Amino acid sequence: MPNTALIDLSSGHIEIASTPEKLTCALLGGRGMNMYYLRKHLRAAGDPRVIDPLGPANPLIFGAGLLTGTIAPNAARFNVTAKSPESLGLGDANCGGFFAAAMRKAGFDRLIIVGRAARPSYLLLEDGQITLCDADGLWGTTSPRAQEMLRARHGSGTVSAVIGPAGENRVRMASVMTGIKNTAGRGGMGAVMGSKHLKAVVARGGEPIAVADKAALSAARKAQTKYLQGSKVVQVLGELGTPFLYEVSNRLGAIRTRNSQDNFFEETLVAAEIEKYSDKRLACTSCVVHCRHRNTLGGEGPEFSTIGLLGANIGLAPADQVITLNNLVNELGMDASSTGTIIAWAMELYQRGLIRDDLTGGPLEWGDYERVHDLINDMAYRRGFGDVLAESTQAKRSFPPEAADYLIAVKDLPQSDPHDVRYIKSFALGIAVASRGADHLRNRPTLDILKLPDEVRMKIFGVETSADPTTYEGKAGMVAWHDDIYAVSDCLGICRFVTHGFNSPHLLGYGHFSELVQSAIGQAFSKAELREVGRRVIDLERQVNRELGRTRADDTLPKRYFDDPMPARATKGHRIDREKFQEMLDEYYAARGWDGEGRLRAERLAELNAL
Amino acid sequence: MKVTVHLGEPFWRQVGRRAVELTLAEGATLADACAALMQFQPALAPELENGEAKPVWFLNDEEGQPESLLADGATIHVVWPVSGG
Repeated sequence: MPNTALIDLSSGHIEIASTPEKLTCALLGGRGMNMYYLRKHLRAAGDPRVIDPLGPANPLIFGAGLLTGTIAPNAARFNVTAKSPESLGLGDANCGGFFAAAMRKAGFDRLIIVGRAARPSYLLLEDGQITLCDADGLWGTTSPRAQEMLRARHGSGTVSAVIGPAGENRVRMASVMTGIKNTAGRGGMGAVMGSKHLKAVVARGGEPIAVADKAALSAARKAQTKYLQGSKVVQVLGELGTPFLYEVSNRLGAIRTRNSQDNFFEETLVAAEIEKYSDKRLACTSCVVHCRHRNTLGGEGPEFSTIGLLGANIGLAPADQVITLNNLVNELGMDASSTGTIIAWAMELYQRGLIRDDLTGGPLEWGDYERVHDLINDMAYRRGFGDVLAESTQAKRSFPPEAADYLIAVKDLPQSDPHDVRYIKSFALGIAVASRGADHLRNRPTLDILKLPDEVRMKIFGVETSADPTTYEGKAGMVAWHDDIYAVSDCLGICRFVTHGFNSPHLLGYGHFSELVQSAIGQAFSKAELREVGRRVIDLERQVNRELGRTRADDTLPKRYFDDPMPARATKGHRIDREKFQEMLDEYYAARGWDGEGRLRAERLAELNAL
Repeated sequence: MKVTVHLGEPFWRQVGRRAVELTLAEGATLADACAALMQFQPALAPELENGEAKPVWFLNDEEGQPESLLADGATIHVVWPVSGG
């Protein structure tokens, strides 16, 4: 029976209970169920708006997907959820690797961690039991070193989710790491963990996850794997990994370059250059894609996001230097997207004379590898100007007011994807309304650049859409559609790279999910019921944000995306029209069933309150 | 006239080089260049005609259409239309 544990690090009290079936029906697991508990615990602690995200009252929730750890394709994922110290809004990060499967095998679907340990500690999950252990000797270690030490301490089957020095030092873009590179990166969940004096969650032992119909799940896995392997996108991701996306965005003129002052960069960062430093392709639990590179410079990756944001966005061209920075942020436990975005922001402020040497401690020039390498270390250890940037978007308090005009963030979360959104309007709307802030993995429409015939788009989205990515028409319904299916795949623990709509119309959709869920837990969910779960999760997140003080005014974009036309290549001249953006927002709220201010209707709120 | 076609990922791997020079008749269009490319390297045909993701053709840094007219010395890029990562 799946278990949820409530762990109070202050008192040491641990309560273990079965995960309520009612919640499984309503939210499946993973991200959705995490949101339920986040809302519950934030409200119980007082006014969510004033709860210190780095204080003991902020709940930190680890939740595995409903299918995570089974043989369902690409079912490796878990979510880490809390009030974000980076955005001060909803914080939620999704991660692959092997930890979540180990957590479930050790007997736990979900950990809800509150309080603060008196001294550095870690949680050991083993055979349905949880022990709070002393983190002697672990505090201060990098992410890979901490995992190595925990394996040495508890045996070879041990899998851990840890923080590095950045999390310990409450760096606001600190991540939770598992393995060399798998990262719950967004929103500073590592800082929340550090604030609780929690170095690691360690899982070991246990039995394979029981499923309702092993033969049916095995048959579904076989058929769906075959289907996925027929997809060209899956094949190319398996051959090249995400670095191949750089060339596409760069050729279009949509790669965020020098803090989005430019929109294309050097060819030195294309996949063929990155793969010169790759010696192996790796995979997560039950993966059929195998997209992750092991690099020859001592780490794993980089992914497209890191290539863009610790490469083009900071004006750094040599592939080996970008890979070294990628390895560094992973060792220190920092989100590469936020780190690259914040450093680029500071570089532009320095370029414009808005900040000077007295604050930065010396020149801060585009492409200065040595400076960036030192700065990332300084951020992780909160030294000098690094201490200022360790505040991520909240560093604007240390800068002149006009500095905010150059910050590429939404809801105070730096944009994750290195793709400039001014050309593809659906993408712009997506990052504006994404619940955790500027993030492509919440709802990014990717199919509108495929020029699919009208009837195919109608079959997929069920609403009128446009095949032209540069128009504003029909984008709201498309974003809402992606919101829902991505939420469902996060609730199931399935990777975005095999989810219908993410770069291909030939990946796993609600029908496939339905088969998997039925065989795994023995409960039938129709396609419509699964989509309704997605809607419910999006509504729940909207309400969490509402209770954290977010309003319609927060569903917006960086000033540059409205005001500055893209400078070159095929995207030249494109920007976001303010009026048309507001119209898209109206349409989007209508598509979601929200009122004109983006609030849930009373009856929907009553439904959520009754969960 | 001569035009240069730069092959993006994953197309160039079928050919073993990043760029191909094509000789075309005056008045040729992008569609003619595509046909010439497939004739030159038949292994590319399934990739270029892939129904899952039809490539985007850029002509001198602008998005081109099949009927776009080519000029001598034109630079063409063939790119796979993916955008999420």
